[in-house]
Amino acid sequence: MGTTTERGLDFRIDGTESAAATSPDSANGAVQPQNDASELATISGQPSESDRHNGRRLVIASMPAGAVPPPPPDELETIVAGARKRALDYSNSLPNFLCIEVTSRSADQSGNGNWKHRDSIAERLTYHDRQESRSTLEVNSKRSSLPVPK
Amino acid sequence: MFAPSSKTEFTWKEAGSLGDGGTLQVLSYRVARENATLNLSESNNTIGVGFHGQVYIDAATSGVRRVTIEADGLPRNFSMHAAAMTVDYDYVAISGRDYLLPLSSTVRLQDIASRSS
Repeated sequence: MGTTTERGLDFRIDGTESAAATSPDSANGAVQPQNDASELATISGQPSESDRHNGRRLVIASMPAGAVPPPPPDELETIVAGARKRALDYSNSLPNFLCIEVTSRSADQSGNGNWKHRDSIAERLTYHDRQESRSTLEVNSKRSSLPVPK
Repeated sequence: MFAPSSKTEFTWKEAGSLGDGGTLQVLSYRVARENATLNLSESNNTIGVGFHGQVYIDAATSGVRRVTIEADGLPRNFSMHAAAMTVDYDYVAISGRDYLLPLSSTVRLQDIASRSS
């Protein structure tokens, strides 16, 4: 039997935002480039009532068969075109920000669903001028600056 | 998958609903290997593979709220037998404005020894 491994990632943005947080230009939606790291939206500290993100999960439910009929071909094209435009504009629309990415890794040596937790890693993810970078903060709840173990 | 160069084939699968009551259009998609930009790496080897899955599109905003990805046609001499990923997106407030960002993801890899199991 082989091994199945699973890696779960949570992107956590807690607490209040710094006053220096960057934001896209409201008139045209374009991002104003920020070259000073101090102008990143620093997102850390205590969660606010309005933006509690820990443990948040997206809830999606299926609809009963036939509740929504299949869209005609031209409408399907419109749906895809809308999603395509939004997806391709996506990275240009984001401001600079920081968040904590929490990775939980498990392995199932038997292939029978007997998952064993391997490790947990917390990294600081920085999105700055449309570039992502990560630095390790904790491995198994212990402070670490080492690269993520393979 | 949305890059025109991917030449992705989309077909409608079903409708779904978000927790807040919004409607999702769930589309199946497939990207052929020759048009794919998905790379898988092992110690000294990186391969490009085709992939398929589902994309959950918010009917009101055109925002993608979930993507599933399954790699196709992994070669027999590659260490991975199967690779799959799910990413969920939700709105997060930054500087008083909501942005659609990755909320969580799951990556599942199956090694070559499982091929015969």
